[in-house]
Amino acid sequence: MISSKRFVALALFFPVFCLAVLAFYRSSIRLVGKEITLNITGYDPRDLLSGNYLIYTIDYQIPDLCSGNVSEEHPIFVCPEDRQSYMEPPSTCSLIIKGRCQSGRFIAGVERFYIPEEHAIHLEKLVLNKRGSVVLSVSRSGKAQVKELLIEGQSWHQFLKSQTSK
Amino acid sequence: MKNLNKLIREWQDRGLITSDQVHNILDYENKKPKASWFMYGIITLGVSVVGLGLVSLIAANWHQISDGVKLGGAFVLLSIISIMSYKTHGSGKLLIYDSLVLGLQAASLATIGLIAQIYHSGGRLEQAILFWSLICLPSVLTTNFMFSPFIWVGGLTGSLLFFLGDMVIKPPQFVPLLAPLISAIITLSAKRLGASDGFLKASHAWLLVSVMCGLLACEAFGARPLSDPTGLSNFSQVFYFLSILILVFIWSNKSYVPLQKSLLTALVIIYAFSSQLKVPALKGEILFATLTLLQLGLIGAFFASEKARRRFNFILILMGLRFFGLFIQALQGLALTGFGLILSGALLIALATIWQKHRSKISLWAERITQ
Repeated sequence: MISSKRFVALALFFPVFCLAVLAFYRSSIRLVGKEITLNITGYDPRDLLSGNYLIYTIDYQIPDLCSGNVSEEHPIFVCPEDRQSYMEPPSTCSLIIKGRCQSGRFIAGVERFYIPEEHAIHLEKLVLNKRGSVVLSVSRSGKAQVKELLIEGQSWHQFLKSQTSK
Repeated sequence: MKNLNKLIREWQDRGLITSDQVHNILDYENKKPKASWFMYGIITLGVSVVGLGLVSLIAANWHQISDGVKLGGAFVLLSIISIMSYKTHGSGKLLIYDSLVLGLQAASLATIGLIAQIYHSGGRLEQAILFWSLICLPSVLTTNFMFSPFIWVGGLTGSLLFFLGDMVIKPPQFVPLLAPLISAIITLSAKRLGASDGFLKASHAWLLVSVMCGLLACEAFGARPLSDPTGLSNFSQVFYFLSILILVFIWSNKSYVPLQKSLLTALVIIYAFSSQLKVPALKGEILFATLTLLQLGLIGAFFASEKARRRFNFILILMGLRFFGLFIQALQGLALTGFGLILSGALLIALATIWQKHRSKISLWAERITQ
């Protein structure tokens, strides 16, 4: 058993430190990144829900994105401004989103949103009816973070409240 | 107390203790503060109910709690557990320390889930558990008993296998064949790092389970045709890399004598051979069963060389069962006839009798030949 006091102190606080760094990193992308709002659709109409997560496809409005023989190991850079995808980060684009192609879909790690169980089915229907969009915060390196789920331009929370008050 | 009185009277009657000693013992015992199990039970129940109430309250209002409060609460809890663990370390309360470290592991995993929920992070479960394994490794190395490392080793092995199945190896049904190799690397690394007895016991337990799974997988996949032969090359590369790593660990380990190193090397080579082998039909099944018996024999010999009697006996039982299975496979149709059944039953009785009468001698013999 490793019993030096210093090692024990480091060992016990190491998980706290690592998790704090992880939370800080995710927070920093959310706070400091550039915002962009993109429309979403469901990609599997049978079941958009995975546990308490709504899973969707983001519409980058890029035709043939991830079609053809695109390697799943190579990162792809999407520029929503000029509606193009690139194999290397383009210098002319002010906002790029980094991801990979998997089974014909562009995955940037922002394709799910945690939602409360009681609103899951209602929100799923709204997304299927193409009334949903997501606000992403994107860092300079192309790492994206989901900020908010919008329904008809309103945050999902506000939208559901307004529905209830009607 | 009633039992103690009874025992004391019995000892006094047999002249083992004097009446003065009886008086002193009873006096001492009566002066001790008594544990009221009824009170402890009620208090424990009360604390559990309060705890459950708190959890229910939080769960019911979860979505109204802001992300900052959720995260803050999680980190406060993690810090409290870490501080309590640190204060308990070195105080001699080993069980309490290990329980707190287990609590820290559970709270860390819950916090990873909370961060994923708050930031809507993508990623797979095995990636989260791999991350959890990495951040909890230092604290697990400081534990004394087996239960905390047992969960950690299980989590690491499972997540590595799922990760390999998802990202690297296609088709993923070959992944169980890698389980013994991954477990072996964890065990050998733990030995090299000077991990506690508890950690080593946990990794040995998982290694045994993984080896059994690996041998079963060899027999299950080996005798069937491969639908996608190209998928084998990716698997082979990972397999050989892990095997070579294991051999490096074995031969650089100073605690193993040359015979033990040879036994383990032979085991790795035969396992590599049997996991890559594709032989169809019945001949294949008998060949794989024979290879399984050979590998179990090598494992048994290694345990005998370590004087690990219990594990040696366990392997011997497994060999007996597999041999019996092989016998049934070899008989084929005859097994169903009366003659076949009589033979099988007699063999079973013979094996059990030999085992019962001579297991100590068998263990001693195995230990002697591996010296």
